[in-house]
Amino acid sequence: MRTAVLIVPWLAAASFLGAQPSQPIAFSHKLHASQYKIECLYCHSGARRSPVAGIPSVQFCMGCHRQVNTTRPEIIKLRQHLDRNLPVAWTKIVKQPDFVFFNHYPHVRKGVRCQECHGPIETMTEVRLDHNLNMDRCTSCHRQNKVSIDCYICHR
Amino acid sequence: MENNRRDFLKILGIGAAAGMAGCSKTAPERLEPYVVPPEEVVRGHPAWFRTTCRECPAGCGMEARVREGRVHKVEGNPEHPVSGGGLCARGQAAVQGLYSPDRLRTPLIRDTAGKLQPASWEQALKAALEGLAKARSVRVVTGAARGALEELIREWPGAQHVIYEPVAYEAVREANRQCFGVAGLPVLRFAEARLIVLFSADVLETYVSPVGYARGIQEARRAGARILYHGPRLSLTGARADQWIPGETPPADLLQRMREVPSLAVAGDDLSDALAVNRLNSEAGALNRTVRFDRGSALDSAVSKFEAAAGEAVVVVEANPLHALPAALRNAAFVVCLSSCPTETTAAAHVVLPVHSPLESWGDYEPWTGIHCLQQPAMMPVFDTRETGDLLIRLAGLKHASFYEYLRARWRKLNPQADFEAFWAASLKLGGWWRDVPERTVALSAQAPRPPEPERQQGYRLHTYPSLTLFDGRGANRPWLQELPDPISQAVWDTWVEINPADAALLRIRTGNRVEVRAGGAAIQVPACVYPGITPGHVAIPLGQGHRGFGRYADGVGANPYLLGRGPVEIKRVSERRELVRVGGSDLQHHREIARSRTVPGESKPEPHSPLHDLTLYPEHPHEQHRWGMVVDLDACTGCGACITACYAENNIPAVGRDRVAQGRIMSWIRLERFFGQGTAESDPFQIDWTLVMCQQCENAPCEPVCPVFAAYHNQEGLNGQVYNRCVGTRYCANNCPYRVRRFNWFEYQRPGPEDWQLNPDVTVRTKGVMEKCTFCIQRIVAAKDRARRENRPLSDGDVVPACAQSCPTQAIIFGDLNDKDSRVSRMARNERRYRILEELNTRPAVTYLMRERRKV
Repeated sequence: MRTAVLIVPWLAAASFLGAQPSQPIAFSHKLHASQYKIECLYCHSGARRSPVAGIPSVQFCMGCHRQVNTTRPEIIKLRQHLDRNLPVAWTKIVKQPDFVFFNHYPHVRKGVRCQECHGPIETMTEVRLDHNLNMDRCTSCHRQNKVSIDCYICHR
Repeated sequence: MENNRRDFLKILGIGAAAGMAGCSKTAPERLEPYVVPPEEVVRGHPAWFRTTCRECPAGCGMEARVREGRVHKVEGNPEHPVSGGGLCARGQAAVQGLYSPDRLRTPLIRDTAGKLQPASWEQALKAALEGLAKARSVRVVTGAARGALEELIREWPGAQHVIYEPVAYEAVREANRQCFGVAGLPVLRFAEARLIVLFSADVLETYVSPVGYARGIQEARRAGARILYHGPRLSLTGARADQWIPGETPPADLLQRMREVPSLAVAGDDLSDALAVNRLNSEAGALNRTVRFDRGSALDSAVSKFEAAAGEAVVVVEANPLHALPAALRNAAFVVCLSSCPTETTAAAHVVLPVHSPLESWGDYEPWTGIHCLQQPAMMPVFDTRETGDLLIRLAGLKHASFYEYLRARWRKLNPQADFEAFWAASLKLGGWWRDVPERTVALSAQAPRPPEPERQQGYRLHTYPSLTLFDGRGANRPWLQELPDPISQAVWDTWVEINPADAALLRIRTGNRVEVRAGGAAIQVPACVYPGITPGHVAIPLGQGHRGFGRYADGVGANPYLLGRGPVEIKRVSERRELVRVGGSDLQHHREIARSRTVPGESKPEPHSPLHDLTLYPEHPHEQHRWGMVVDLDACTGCGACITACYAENNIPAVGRDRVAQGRIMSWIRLERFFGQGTAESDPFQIDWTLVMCQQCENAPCEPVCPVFAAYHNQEGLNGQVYNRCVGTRYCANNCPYRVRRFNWFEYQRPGPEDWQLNPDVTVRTKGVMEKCTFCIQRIVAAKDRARRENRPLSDGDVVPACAQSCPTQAIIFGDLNDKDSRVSRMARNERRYRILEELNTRPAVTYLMRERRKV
């Protein structure tokens, strides 16, 4: 009985896990974060000061790529987005339901590593989520670190 | 197998999960970062833009909160000289004008068959210019518009400018002309008066500048001022006064009493009252002290009636004259309408040009001479609309590059000494620029006429008054305002006629019966509201409803009393059905003392209703860090309802419509409980008390233990939490709540686009089957903590301001930490006027009320 209880929701959830929808531009975290050792917060600077980590603007990417690898097809694509003033529509991989209000800033401030929730992102050529980001994961970490688990921390 | 609660819930989940597995996956969500990020936008943090409220001629200062490029909420500008931080319900609802689903999206041209058809901007402008060129003359009709717009219209060759305001205080201005030689409205310095006498002047509701006046009156009250209200109808302002004098003539010793202290008398829009008041103010020494003519009002040149001449072209700019004056444009040869929303007037126009709403436009407004308020766009336009000023430049054939440049050029001239760019930036940041004006003294003219004897007439006397919620009718397309109960009648989504119980008995009318009101050859049918606060022989109807062509929320609601003619009024019952939808239960308190007041000097502090026993089955809550609490000062509360609308805006509360309110399904988290009572003095036969009721965040909360899924819980900071995603909708909590503050989502309420753009991204939009209630604006508490953490400091008193407390013009709501003994809320909660509602139930609420005082006059 208990197994059935656990399996069925897992089947339902499995379809969301590990899925790798293709992104409009083949951006590699492995290349940027691992090979060139660019800090996560360099591009996702919102996490340092606001609830939203944010995805860098096209202009921000072009800050480097005006000089770096300007002839690669993916960079040409990026340049076209800037020239046409057309935003890049990335597919959202890491998401929370609408009733969850996660705030990056306090976590970054306390030194929680990005990988704790996002996984080994610096090894990924294309971003995927291999584990469940459910409430159990949040509360167990909060409990271990003696942080409040008041419902209002996330739900309001 | 051992089954516990968790397992049971998991098994329930299987069904849902199995059902879900069969569904196709929803489309993946997209993340679209900016191509070039705008300056100073931090995602997840609000940006604030100061601008000016254009919902009525008062010209209050406003701050628009913008998240990710969209305005979510507007609040008062605390540095503004007119309003000083508060913002009324109508101002709060400005965002619903911006995001109205009925907004005009394309220009319209009347075709040969007489129907308005969508057209391109080129076509529409061409048609408008051709029509104007053919006309004999041009008349431009706007609302109060003193500032750049008025000056621009002055440059229009040959055009005549009509400033049309349905409520233009012409009688008051006429009386001032006859008495003082100034045909304008005075500046009223309530804060300096210690006796305030109001002759049917509803200064706390709609009269000229209600937010600023409420603030001034509250300041005077704190210094011990008394308020007298004289008039046939006890309005909300009258109910707020210390004493109501309903008779025909004011008390004989009034002048004597006004001479004893700094005083101030104000008349409503009635010539006889205004003449009497001018004489009183002059003889009591109030003139040139509390009643001053230093600054002229933007309403000084307004008219409430006009009619277009034959063969004339009329350009109507963001005004709706055809609601109040259906025949105003009948002679016009050609009508161009610049409007953001469809109105009665756009329906009669030849060309309709959609314009930006005030929150999308540049502009300025000078409500009082020298008070220059700037208006700046808080966001990009929602639709393909244009700036009003730009269109006027085009229609008038002027040479200015743009209205923005014209506005800047005007401001350059305002303060020529200043470094312009710095002055402009500072003015935008402050919300405007205010300068001193030379003092001006006036004197009562020797020819000032005595007030005429009130004319005797047959039948009932009709009073139509601007509605607190809809003003002259321009608020009727905002669902928040339609659903904001009128504080006196407690009615929503309707027009009603107030009748004295004695008259009602004669006419065999009961509250809710449909009656026909006939005056001057016209008649309207409205439900009756039997109201002891109107003197026998008088009836009153609020303005604002009865629209045709003002959008989905306004059309077909109520009746239009502007249509009634002058003269004696006949009333007869046409139906016995009970039609009026009112919130609230009984008009009487039944000795429960929910809204308390005392008369001073004389009555003592409130008797606490001690609980019979102080036992509880549950352990005490520790509240180690904070214990949030609130104080509602009923002596400051004017009953205006700004807090209620602010709460709707902040907390994504849906307006549910008239039928559902009738079923008791109104969703407001705060409500105004209004009770009738008997006055103590013989001259004061009837009085009204009210209180605000929101979740009391009880220490021993009856809602918490009955929730089977722990969706209602007590948090460490003393809040009664409600976790929407956990709630399964048993409604046990609402049944167990003695304060009736919990609201259940019986439906998934729809917000037709772009109304959904208003939703606050920091608050969950609740779905069907979920219970909700006041959270003390938990999202603001969290944001304040976040801000303090970023600034590396502890949370201090005043950091957290809930939406209701922010909007209150008189600061009647104080919020803070009860654990901090020096916080403002703790100090207020120790006031001797304190009491709690239904304290005898031992719920130990976190909301303390300070009883109202009636001061003997």
